Amino acid sequence: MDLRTKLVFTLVAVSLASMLALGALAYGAAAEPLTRRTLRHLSSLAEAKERELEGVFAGWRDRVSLISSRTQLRRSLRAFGASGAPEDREQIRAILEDARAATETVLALSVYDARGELVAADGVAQPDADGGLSVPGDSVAYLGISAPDAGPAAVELGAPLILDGERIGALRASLATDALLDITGNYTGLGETGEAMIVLRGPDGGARILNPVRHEGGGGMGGTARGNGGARGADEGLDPGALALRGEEGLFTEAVTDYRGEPVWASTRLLPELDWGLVVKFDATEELEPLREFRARLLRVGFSLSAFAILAGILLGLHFSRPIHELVAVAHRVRGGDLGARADDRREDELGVLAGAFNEMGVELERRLSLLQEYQRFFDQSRDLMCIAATDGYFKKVNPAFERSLGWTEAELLNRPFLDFVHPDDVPRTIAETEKLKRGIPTISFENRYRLPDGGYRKLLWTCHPEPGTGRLYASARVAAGAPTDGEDPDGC
Amino acid sequence: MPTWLAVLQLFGGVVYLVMGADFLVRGAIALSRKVGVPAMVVGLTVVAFGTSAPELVVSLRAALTGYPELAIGNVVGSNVANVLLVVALPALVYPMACDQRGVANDALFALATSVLFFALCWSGTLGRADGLILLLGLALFLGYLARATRGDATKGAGRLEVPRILGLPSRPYMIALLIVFGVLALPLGAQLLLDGAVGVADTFGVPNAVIGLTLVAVGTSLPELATTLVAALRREADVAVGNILGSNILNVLAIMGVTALASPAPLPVPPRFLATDLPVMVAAALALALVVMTRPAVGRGVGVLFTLAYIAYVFVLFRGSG
Repeated sequence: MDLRTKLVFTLVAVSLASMLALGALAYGAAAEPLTRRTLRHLSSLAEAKERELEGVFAGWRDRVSLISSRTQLRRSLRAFGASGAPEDREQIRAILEDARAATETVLALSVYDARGELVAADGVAQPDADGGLSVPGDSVAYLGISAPDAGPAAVELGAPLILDGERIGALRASLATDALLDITGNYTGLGETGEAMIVLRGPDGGARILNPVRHEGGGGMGGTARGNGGARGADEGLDPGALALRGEEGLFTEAVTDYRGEPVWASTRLLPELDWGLVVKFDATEELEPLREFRARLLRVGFSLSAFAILAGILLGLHFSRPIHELVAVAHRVRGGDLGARADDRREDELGVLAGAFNEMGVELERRLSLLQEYQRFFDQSRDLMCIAATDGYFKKVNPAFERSLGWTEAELLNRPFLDFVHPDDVPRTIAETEKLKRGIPTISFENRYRLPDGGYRKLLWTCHPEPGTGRLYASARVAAGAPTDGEDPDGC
Repeated sequence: MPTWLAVLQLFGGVVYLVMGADFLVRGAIALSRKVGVPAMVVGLTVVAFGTSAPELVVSLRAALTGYPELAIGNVVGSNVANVLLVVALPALVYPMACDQRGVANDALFALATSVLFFALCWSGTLGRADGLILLLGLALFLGYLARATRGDATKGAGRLEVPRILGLPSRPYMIALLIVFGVLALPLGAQLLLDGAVGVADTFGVPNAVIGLTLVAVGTSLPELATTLVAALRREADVAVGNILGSNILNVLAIMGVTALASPAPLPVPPRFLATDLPVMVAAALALALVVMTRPAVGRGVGVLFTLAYIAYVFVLFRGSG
């Protein structure tokens, strides 16, 4: 693989890893405060809604308390208890009518005697009005929610009617839930998906949502939220309404789903006096959306920035590989015999140093070759016989003077032991001299006769220097004056 | 989306696309060599489709993510830019020879392809049947190429792209690394480019189609432009015109064919394409065919003319949208 690709891989890996680490750090740093802020917002919304609900209930209680404290009403009830006269009953009904007309919130009023039997009523028909009434304690009490088949649901409050310290009956008031619905229907600060829900305990023990829900799929007024028992599947989360009714107040972000089965972040409250639960919730997806968007943006920025690393890798790769390619081309030219080829060594980096060293090598090579050529010229043009032989008895290299003086070709001389060319009488001395050379003793002056192709002999005067270690013998010989002989030389050498 | 992020994504998208295509092509060529696929087959498949991979993933992704105007705009804009920019700009530097054998045929094929595409778009949508017709055209083109390059094993690769032989890996894990990296980088680059393009379009209030015709198209054509410019500077742009014609043919037949076939619903062709951009594409193909058939090289005069025509086209595009 080329340098460019390696650099791209390395730089991309390093840049992506560092950017992912930085991104993870930034994401973690941003996610925590964002989540904390959202939860704080959710908690304060639940707090505000709870206060509003308590305010509404306090208003209702004051209103009912005011009606039950009307002296004329209590006196008329006592009179009716004593006489049973229809005029007294009518008087009570007139008082109730007058009280109900004073406020739109009150949908119906009923008065019961001390035995709990209905005496008079005014307003919309209250379900099970004839069933008697018992109000616990000495003050206004919450009796429950009535949800008639026809007509709006109503909150039922009861108040004892006491005259001169004696409990003479009770008042029942049905109050419109509009004020409650105004609270739950106000989505200010709840974003696109958030909502507040008042949750009641249903007859089956499950949670029932009082108000109309914001999204499709809920029960609405009188409807039943999916209970926390058998109605919810194992894969569904906890019902925040059921949590509220169980008194588990707080913030829930994990494993909580609403009536649609949608994961939510919820804040729960229990209103113990009413036994109502209050749930304020957002869809988890909406809350996580900014985080998801932030994460996606971080990734996009990270990948986009790593493109600079890719470009840098490509440019660096080209920057480094081009001079190497040029150097390779120059090396090929030198190998091809163009010793004058030089690389561009103007760069000041290691590649410049490499090119410089390569060029110096070229210069030195050229100098040595030139020197070699000069020696070669000496070797080739000398009239003296010059050769390199070895202690194995063969010539390794001979100069052209050999052929000129002795008549043998270079190949003939190299392929046969040099003793083959020595006069038979000179062979023992030549062997002895070679032995001396083997021991490293140079030959200063040694004479023997070399055979010519025509059978004649020439007398050669040798000097020879052995090279220790290699066994190579560097020798030169001068042809003795005179014509070739027939080999008879009584003087010997 | 902030403008800087959109521009950064455009840049990142182009770089990832170019790198992804380069890695994929090199990995695929190396793999083909390893398993002994003939060079001609490699040239006709791996190299040809590999170099068109950026346009393909961009158009495919645009069509699948609900930006059909970007998908079509990319191809139409790419073909216009290829002729009026990628041929013209290098010709300003050095005349580009166009008298090689087969180039005239390619020019006619490119013109016929443009006209066919225009005709298929005329109905206002590009459905699966249209995609099939385009792919049939592709099969014909590949068949013609195979016959034209028979007996010349390297020509198939050479006609479509200057092959990048240097840097081909031989170790199996490096081949796998290149292919995996290429396969991952291409869709990532396409997504970044499209996000950036849509971001730029939103920021400047320009229709997506115009961004597709200009930024996305030129972005995906940048590698060809860079390669051809460098080749022209080195006076080695002999195969450039043939490569660009091949790229234009593949853009329409392969990319629009695959995109139309893969799209779950027929791609709507905005009326502006029928009124302006497709006629410009056909006119550009016709102009190049005329030049190729009457001159030995695309000279400076033609280069100036084409460049001015491209500037005028972009001016009209943005003026019409602004």
